[in-house]
Amino acid sequence: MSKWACLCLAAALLAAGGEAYAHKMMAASRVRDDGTVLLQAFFPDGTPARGVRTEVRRPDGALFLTGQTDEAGRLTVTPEGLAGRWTATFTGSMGHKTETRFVVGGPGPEQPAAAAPATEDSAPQPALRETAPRTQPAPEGAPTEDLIREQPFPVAEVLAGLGLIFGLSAVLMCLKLRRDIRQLKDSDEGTTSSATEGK
Amino acid sequence: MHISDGVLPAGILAGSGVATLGLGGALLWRADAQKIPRVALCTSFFFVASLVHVPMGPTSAHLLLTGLVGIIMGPLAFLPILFGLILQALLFQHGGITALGVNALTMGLPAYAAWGLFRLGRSVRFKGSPFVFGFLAGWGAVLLSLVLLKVVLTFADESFVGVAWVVFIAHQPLAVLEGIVTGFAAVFLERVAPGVLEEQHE
Repeated sequence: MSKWACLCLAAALLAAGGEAYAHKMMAASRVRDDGTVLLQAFFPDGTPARGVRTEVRRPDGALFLTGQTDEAGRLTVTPEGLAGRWTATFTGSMGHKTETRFVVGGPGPEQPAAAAPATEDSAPQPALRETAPRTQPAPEGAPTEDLIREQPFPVAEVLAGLGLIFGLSAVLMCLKLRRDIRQLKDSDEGTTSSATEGK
Repeated sequence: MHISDGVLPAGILAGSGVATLGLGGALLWRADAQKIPRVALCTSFFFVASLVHVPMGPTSAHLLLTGLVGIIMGPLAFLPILFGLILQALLFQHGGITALGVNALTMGLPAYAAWGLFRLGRSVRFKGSPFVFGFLAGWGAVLLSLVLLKVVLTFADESFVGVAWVVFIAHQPLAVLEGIVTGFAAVFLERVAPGVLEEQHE
């Protein structure tokens, strides 16, 4: 195995890292004009998070439905009942978890939950439902509805991390060397004093 | 392969946090000053490796390089993994702060297994043995991490058991890739800096 082969392998890995990276899961939501809500889970490189278990909770925290994202990482829900800020929590099979919030019956998804949540008396609780993903295919010729926002490669964070690693390691090494020097001094002093006592 | 906040019960998070704090603190206290630059080097490549994405069927995976950390660092393998995970959580939001302990254990313990395997391999020398045992160390570390991850997630929710085998099989390409990277790295170190390996394995 030559050095050049190792260097080529390292370069290929770095190039792959520059093209795409992913690990944490992200999510977004959009309230449609017809009252349905599109939820979508994805990874920072733009890969949809498929088959992710999703729990949708009403503004009062009650579970409204559970489902799974489809091949495009999407799940469409039709909120019923309370107006206010709803929460969708996505839990992946590898321990990834994220959530997104959307406002139902309020001025729009960008606004805070201004609409006062209705009480249980005024809004009947829908029964808990186990649902399959209720996706709504886009009409023929219409642009595909997509909430995925690919994140740029975090160059600044990588540089900050490397700076922290080497900076802190230098500090740590200085502290340990100081401790070693003190121990050496103490042992030298001990040896000298015992030698003096011996004389 | 990083568990997020809010996935595991508080008992597991607390127990793993205490174990990680104890192990990390003891290793940091005992580490020689001369080993610190090597810890920094391993921390840096472990930290950046999580950004190398490998598509894995229904999920998204990335390089871990815990096997490589194990064969380079030996008894101190836990330290680069712990420091790398802290920085990944703070800077990239990979995994959660409360889940740091469990993430460190699921990735750190396999690094020790990789070290043990590679150490065993150095007693059985043959042509190509550094690559073979490097490959086995890298490949085995990923698989052991997956097993530990699945065991931990099963405590949180039994529904994770159903997808365990799918995830295990889907991650084989990543495990093989890590094995190849670790194998080549072992060959490279054997040629240019054999002292690095001998120090940990003799």
